[in-house]
Amino acid sequence: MIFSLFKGMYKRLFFLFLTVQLLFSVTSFAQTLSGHVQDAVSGEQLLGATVWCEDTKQGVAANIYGFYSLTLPEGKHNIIVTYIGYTPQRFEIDLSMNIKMDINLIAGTKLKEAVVSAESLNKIEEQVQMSKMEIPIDQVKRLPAIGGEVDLLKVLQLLPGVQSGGEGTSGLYVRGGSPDQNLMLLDGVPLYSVNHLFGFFSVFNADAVKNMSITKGGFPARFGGRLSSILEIYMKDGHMKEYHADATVSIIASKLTVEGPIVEDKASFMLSARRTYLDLLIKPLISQANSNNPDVTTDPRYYFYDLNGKLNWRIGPKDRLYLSAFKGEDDFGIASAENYGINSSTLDFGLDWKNEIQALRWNREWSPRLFSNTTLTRSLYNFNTGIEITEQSEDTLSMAALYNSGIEDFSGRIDFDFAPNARHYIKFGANWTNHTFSPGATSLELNFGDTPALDTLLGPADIKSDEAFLYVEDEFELSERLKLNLGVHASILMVQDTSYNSIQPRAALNYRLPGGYAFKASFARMAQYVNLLTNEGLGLPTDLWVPSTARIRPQQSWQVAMGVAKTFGDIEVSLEGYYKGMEGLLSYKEGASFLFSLDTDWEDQVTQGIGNAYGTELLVQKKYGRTTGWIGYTLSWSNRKFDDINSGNWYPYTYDRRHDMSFVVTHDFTDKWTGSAVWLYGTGRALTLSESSFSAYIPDGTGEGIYTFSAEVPSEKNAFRMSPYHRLDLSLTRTKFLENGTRHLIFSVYNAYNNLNPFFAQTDEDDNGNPVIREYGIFPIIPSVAWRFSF
Amino acid sequence: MKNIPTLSIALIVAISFVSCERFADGVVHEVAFPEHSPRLAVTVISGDTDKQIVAQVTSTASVLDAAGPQPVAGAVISLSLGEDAIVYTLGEEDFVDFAYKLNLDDTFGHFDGTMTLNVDAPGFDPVTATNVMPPIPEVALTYEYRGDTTNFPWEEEEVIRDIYTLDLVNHADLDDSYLINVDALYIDAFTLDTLGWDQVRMRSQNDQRITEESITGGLIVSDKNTTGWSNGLADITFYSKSFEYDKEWSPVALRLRVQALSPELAKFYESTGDYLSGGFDLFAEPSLIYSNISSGFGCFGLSSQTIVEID
Repeated sequence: MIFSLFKGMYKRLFFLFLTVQLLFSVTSFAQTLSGHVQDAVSGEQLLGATVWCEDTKQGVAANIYGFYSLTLPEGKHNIIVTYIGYTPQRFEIDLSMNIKMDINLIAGTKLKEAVVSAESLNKIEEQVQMSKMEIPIDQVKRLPAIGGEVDLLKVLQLLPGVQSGGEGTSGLYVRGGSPDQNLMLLDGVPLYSVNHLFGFFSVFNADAVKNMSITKGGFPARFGGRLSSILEIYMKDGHMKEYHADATVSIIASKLTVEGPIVEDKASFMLSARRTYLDLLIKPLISQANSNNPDVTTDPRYYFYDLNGKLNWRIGPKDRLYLSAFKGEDDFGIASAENYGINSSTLDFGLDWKNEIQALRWNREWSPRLFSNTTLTRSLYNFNTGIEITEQSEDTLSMAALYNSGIEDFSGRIDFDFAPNARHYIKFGANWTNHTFSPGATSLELNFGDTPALDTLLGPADIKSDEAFLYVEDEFELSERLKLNLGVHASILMVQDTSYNSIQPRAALNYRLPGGYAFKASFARMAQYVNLLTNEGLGLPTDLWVPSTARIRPQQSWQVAMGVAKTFGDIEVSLEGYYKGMEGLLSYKEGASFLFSLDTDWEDQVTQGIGNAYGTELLVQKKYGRTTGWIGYTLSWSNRKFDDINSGNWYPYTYDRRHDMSFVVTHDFTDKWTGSAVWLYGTGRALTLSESSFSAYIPDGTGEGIYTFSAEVPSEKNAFRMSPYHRLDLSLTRTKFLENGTRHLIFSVYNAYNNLNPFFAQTDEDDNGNPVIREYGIFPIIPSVAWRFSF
Repeated sequence: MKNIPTLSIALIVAISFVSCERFADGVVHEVAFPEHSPRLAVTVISGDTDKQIVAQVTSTASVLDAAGPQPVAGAVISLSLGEDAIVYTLGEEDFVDFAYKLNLDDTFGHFDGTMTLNVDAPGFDPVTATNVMPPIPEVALTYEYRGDTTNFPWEEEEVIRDIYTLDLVNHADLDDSYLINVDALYIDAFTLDTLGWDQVRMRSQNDQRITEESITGGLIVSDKNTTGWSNGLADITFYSKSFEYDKEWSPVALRLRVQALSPELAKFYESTGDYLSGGFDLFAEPSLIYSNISSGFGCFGLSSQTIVEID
C-alpha cells in the first residue's frame, strides 16, 4: 500500500536524484578529501566539526557520525579544521587524487586560536540553518543545577524561544508549541517521556552525553513527525584507547560512567548508570516512625534510575557499527498496613513509568562522496498505576485495580549523505515506523476469600499504525552571497484502514549582506501523527500518547522565520522573528477526564482545533574565552481555538509567555575555580480560575420537587496570569588535579534570593475567613553540594 | 583575584541566610480579581403536565463573596408564545423563600412554536431565552416481570430483575432526547394512606444511546449516539430490581414516566450531572454548565410527558 501511495512521488524523487547525479558527474578535475573528524585522544567522533578550504572559501561540516566529504579542484589547498573547545588544525594538502584522511583534533583551546576558528564555517553568519542551537556539554556541566544534578533540558529552557512548564519541570514549550510537538531523539531514537520525578529531572544523564542541539524552525527535510522542535542528543561512543571513569555524588543521586576500548582503536564501550537514593535515606526515619505504633505501618517509596550503554565497532575502513541502549524507570508508591485485633488491612498504591530504547546502526562509506547510515530501532514507553486493598477479618476481601497505557515503536531508517562538490551537499533517505498504542486499559479484580468475584479488563483496544517518510534535501551555494537549503519531506500514516499523506516543502536561505551581516529566512511545513493528551495544568506521567486515527486527523503546521546574524569579535548576535500556524491540535474537551473513565472512549473526550504562535528572539552568545555564556530574550504570543473549548473563542495557550529572558554566564576565575550564574525572568503562566458562582435547579427524581445547587463559573479560558517568574542560580566549582585523576567539588544554590515562584493557585481563606485566591510556590532556596571524580 | 572564589562563597552563603527569612510561609500572594459585576441567573424548567411553574432568579456572586449567590426579589418573569403573546407572568407576589412559584389551575399545557422567557429585575440587565416544547412522546412499552436474573459481586444472592423495552420515536428533523423514570407507589401498611410515588433505581446495559443521569437517577436516551443502531431509538432496554408484591412494604403500583426534552434542556441536565458528580478530579479539565440564558447562567427548558401505568 505504501508503495502504491508513494509511487508517483517515488519516481519523481528517483529521477531528480538521477539528474542531480548526472549534473554533478561533470565536475571533472575535482578530487575529494573525506574521512572522519575525531578527538585525538579518545577517538570520539566530533559531529559538526568544520573542514574549511581557505583558498576556495568553501567548507563542509562533519555529519552526526563525524564523517566529512569536501570536493575541491585538483591542486594544493590549505585546510583548517575546527570544533568548539578544540585546538584548530591547519594543514596543506595536495589533492591530485581522492584522499581519505581521518583528522584528529586536540581538546582545549586558547582565545587566540578560538578567534582563528571563528573565521571558519561555524560562524553563525555562514550557516544556512537558522533557529538551531548547540550547547557544549562541558558548559552544561558547569552551570548551576538543582540538588547538584545537572539537567540538559533545564539548560535548553534558558534559550530564547524555549520555555519551561511549571517551576522546576523539564517540559519544553518551543515557540508556542506543546510538549508533544518536540521530537526528542536519543541517538536518533524518539523518546516519548523524558521525565523523572514528575518532571523535575529529565532522563538525559549529562555524563553519558557528548552532544546536544535543538532546532526550533527552518527544519531540514530529513526531520519530520513533530511540529515545534527537534532535540538531538547523542551518547558518547566510548574511549577507543584508554579506560576512563567518571563518578558523581550529589544530594539527589549518584552516577557512574565507565568507558574504554574493547579492542584498541577498533571497538569501544560506554556504560553509565544513575540512581536516586531518597528512598534509602528516609528508610531509617520511616522505620523509626513506624516503631512508635507497630499496629500501623506506612512505607512510602520513590526512586528513579537510568542506564545508558553504547558499543562502537569499526568493522573496517569503510564500515562502522553502533549498538546503543537506554532504560529509565521511576517507581513511586505507598504501602500501609493496619492490624486491629485479629483483623488487618493493607493498602498498596503504586505509580511507575519507564522508557526503553535500543538502536542498531550501520555506517558505510560507499565512496569518498557517498555515505550512508542504516538504523533499526525500538522505543517503548509504559505507564502503570494501581491500587491493591486487602481486608482480613472472618472473611478475606481483596480488590485490585491497575491502569496501564503506553506506546511501542519499531523503526527502520536509511540516510544517505552525498557531496558531489563543495557547493552541494545532498541528503536523502527513507524511514518506516510501526507504532502500537495502548491508550489506557484498566484491569479490575475482586476476590472474596479464594473466590474470584470479578476479573475483567476494561478500556480501549490497542491501536496499531504505520508511518513512513521519504526525504531529499540539498544545501548549495547559488552565488558567493546566497546559500540555500531546499528539500521536501513526504510522509504517510496508515491507521484503522485510513491513510493520511503529507508533502512538506522545506526551504532555508542565507544571504550575506554588506558589513558581515547575514540575512536568513526559512519556511517549513510539518505534520505530526502522534499526540499527547495532557492536562495542561499538571503534566503528569499519566499523560496519554494517542495516534491520529480515522476520527482524529493529524496535526499540521507551517512556520516562516526571518532574521539577521553577525559575529562581533567572539560574540555572536542573532535576531529572529517567526510565525507558526497550527491545525489539527488535540485537547481534552471541557470537563473531560480520561483516568478511570471506563465507559468512555478517549476519542469521545477530545476535540481538535487550531493555533498560532509568533514572536521575536534575540540571542547574544559568547562561546570562547574565560568568560562564556549568553543573553536571551523572547517576545512571543501563542493562542489556541477549539470549537468545544471557551465557547469556540480564541484564548491564550497556557504557556503563552509575553516576555522571557535569561542571562547565563560562566567564568574561569583560575584553573582551579570556576563560577557560573543564571538569572531568568518570564511572564506568569496563564490560568483559568473560577470567577463567579450562580444558583440553579433541576427537577428531582420524582418530578414533584426540585433540587437546587450552586455552581462555580470558570473565567474565560486562561484569562488570569500567575505572578512573573524570576530566579537566580549560582554555582562554584573547585577543581583539583590529582596524580590519578581530577576531582571537582561543586557548590550550587538554586533560587538564590528565595523568590517563591508560583506553582499553583487555589481558593483559600484569609485571616478573617473570607475567600481569597492564593498562589503557592514549592521551591525555596536550595543549596547543594556535589562531588565528582574522573580518571 | 585569588580572593574571588572565597568572596563568591561568602556571597552565596550570605544570600542564602538573608533570604531564609522569606522562607517561612509558602504563600506568594493573593491573586488580584477584577471587581465582579453581578448578573442574573435564571432557571425555568417546565413540562406540559406541570401544575406549578418554578422560576429561580438569583444574582451571580464573585467567588470571593462568602455569602454566595443571592435570590433576587422584585423580578418580573414572563413566558410568551410567538410575538409578545404572554402566556404566564410571575411577579413579586409569587416569590417564596428563594424562588418564584406560580400554582396553576390546570396543567402548564402543550404549546407549539417558540416560547420566550423574559426576566426583568431592578438593578440588572434584562435577560431572555427561547425554547421549543418537544412533541408529546409516543411510547411502546414491553414489560417483563422477573424476566432477568444476574449476579453482582456486591450482592450475595442472585438478583431477579424486571425488563423494560421501549420503542421511542426518533424524529428525523429533531434532536430527540428523553428522560425516563420508573416510579413505585407505596401505601402505609397500617393506615392504608397513600404515601406517594417513589423513584425506582434502573440500570441499562451496554447501550450508547442511554446515559444514567447521576443527579436525578433517571435514564437519558438520546439520538446522538445511534450510530451502529439500525433501529434508531427502538428496543431501548433497561432493568429494575423486581419487587415481591406479597411482602410488607411492597409498592402497590408501578408507572413509567417518559419526558421528551428540548435539546437545550437535555444539555443542561447532562452538563449539570457532569459538574455535580465530577467532584475534585485531578485529571479533568474544568466543567461548564450549559446555559441558553442570555446572561450565560441557568436554563429555560421545556418538556412534554407521557405516563404509562405498568400492570
